[in-house]
Amino acid sequence: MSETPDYTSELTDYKIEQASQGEYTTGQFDLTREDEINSEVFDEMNADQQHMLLKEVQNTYGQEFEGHGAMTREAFSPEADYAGIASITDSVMSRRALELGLANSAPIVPYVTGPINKPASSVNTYKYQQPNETVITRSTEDPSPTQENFGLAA
Amino acid sequence: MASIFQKVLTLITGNEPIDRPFKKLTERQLIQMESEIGRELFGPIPAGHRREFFCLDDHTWIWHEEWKDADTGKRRVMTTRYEIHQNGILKVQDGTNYRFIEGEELHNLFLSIRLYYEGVMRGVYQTDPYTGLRIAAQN
Repeated sequence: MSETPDYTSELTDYKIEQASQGEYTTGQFDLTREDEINSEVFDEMNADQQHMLLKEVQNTYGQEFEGHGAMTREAFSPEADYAGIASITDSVMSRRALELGLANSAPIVPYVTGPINKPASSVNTYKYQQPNETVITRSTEDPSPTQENFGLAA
Repeated sequence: MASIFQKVLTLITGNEPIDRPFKKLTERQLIQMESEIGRELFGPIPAGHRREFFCLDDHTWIWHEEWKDADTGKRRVMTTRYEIHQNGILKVQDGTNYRFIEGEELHNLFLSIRLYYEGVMRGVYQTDPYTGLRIAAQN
């Protein structure tokens, strides 16, 4: 079993020190925006290394790193990308269902806007349930989209 | 009379009424409104092109593109379905092999869908995408 490479330790100290000085706060640590990445060394790391480093920082500072930055960091892994897509899809559908009167509860917010520590397996718990056949029956006046006809013709 | 009713409603709820007709929108109309935002996520749409990008249902996203072939003058259509399966996101296109997307393509799709969510929540549903709470109308 291989040990975790040592390349993160020094940089982790660097980032943690910066975080402790308030240089990085929620919402500012967005790796999708290059102008917000200050460390040249950090830029030279590949995505997996950056992800590992950020995980370490997050594990150290926990809740301080929730928010947009956490959302972006989590998205470095395929599992997180998949979970994010599934979660957002549920959110869109639940919001749409609410608008259509097919649901009474408030729309769910996708996990990607929540804590980084939330495991992917815990998302996608909401299932879009159509309450009854009568409500969702398509009529010719309201041709809801299908795979063949997206219902978006001008 | 309606004005008084609105003022009372505003006093009770604390929110300005959202400027939207009382007529209930259909699912199709909602998808159209969502797609108006979705189609703008991938940059300028070339002249003569028609693009749609939207969430079809709880496991399908659609990218639809139509354009006229410059050489033949024929209308071309390309539709891509991204299906959410238990083991990944399946990319389905006519005439090509179905495959689960990965790497940068998967990540880019995620980012696009996230932008779609943020734009649609604010632009279509007047909802804060991070809290799920209704955004009070301006003015």
